[in-house]
Amino acid sequence: MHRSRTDQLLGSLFLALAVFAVGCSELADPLERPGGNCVSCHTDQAILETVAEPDTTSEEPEGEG
Amino acid sequence: MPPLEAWEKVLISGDEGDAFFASSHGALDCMDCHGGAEGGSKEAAHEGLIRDPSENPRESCGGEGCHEAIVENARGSIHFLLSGMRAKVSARTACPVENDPNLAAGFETSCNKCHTTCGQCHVSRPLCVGGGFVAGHSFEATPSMINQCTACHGSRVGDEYRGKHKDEIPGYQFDIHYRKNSSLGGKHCVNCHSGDEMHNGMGDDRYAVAEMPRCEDCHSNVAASNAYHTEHWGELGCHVCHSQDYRNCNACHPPDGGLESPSYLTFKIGKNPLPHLRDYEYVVLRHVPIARDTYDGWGYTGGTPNYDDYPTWKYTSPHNIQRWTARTDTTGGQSCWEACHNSPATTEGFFLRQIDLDQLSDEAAANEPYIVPDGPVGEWGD
Repeated sequence: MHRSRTDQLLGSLFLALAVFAVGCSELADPLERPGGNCVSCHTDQAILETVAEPDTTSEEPEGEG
Repeated sequence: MPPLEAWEKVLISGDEGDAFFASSHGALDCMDCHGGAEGGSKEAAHEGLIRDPSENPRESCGGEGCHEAIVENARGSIHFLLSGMRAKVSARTACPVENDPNLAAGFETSCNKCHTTCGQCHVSRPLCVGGGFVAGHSFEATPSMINQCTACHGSRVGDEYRGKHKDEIPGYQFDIHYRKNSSLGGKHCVNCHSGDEMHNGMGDDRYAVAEMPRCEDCHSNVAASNAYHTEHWGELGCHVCHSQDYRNCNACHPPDGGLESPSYLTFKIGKNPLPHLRDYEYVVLRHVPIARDTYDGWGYTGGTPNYDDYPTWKYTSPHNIQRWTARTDTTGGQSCWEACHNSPATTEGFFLRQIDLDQLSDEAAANEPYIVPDGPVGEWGD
């Protein structure tokens, strides 16, 4: 069946949008690592700089001597 | 000890990271020790996370095939339980800490922050100073003196050992055992304080720890090396002659009540408050005060009925040893005994005397048994 040029353009556009959507989903949140493990984050300084929270328990104690 | 950024505390990278992953500990699955969950966001992955698995050493480090023997003793050690501090609180309050919820909670918050675990000696900085890997999660058999030992033992032992009081006392020197060129191989705490002491040391007072080092362990052949040793060996603690001034406390940790004054450097000789643990007659005493109402801020209503029964000038072993001190310096031809025996009955004198107790608002009775007479040493009698 002969596909109209319009159908071809629509199909190409749809394909491009699909590829774009998949690509964005990968880029949207680099911190979402479905199936990832501890090591993949804890060996990545860039990740840790983004997500690590300051420790509020720090304190210099008067230690026993 | 330089501060660490939050990300630095948990980053495993570089040569240290490689070494860790190549080690037997690094071969384990992280979740085997730390819990948590697979994948997802940080929040999801950290669900149920155990920050320090060695808080429960039997289930972690002491697991089957691992360090069972060490853990069985270490979990009862004075470092893990803070049994010495716990005993002092219990003694003054006449109430075992664990028997009162307010006392237990207060101890946990104010005192137990320096309780340590396997991990806080062998992997990371203590939690009381914010934690953080010392060497990329590697398990180091020898703790770091700077990042671990003196992270807790800092304001007294650490500063004294490294001679940090020069700004207050010109000419103040670091402990002779700290010398880099020492023939002892110098410097590190573990040169004297062994793993055996850390793992197996138990008792309600650190001087009750059988494995604690004694000067005589190394200096066993100097009892008659000079006239002063001949005269005083065994009678005077070694620090009486060979310690410099040291830090004395004046504030307690509880948020309300207690004492709130700056610490200060001084040196005081008094009668031995621990004759059942050390057989010297005279020793160096460090002021570690406590107020009668110190535990009121914890919500504890029982007070300190035994307050007067326990001294606040306490047996101490300052880590600031020098051969030549204000007692032993014979520059100008004077003998050691002149500086010591004729030390005046003032607050600047070497000896703990009544005039020192007169400066204390409420501690006199507790320390009365440990002061010396006001006159020169030669007039003290037996």
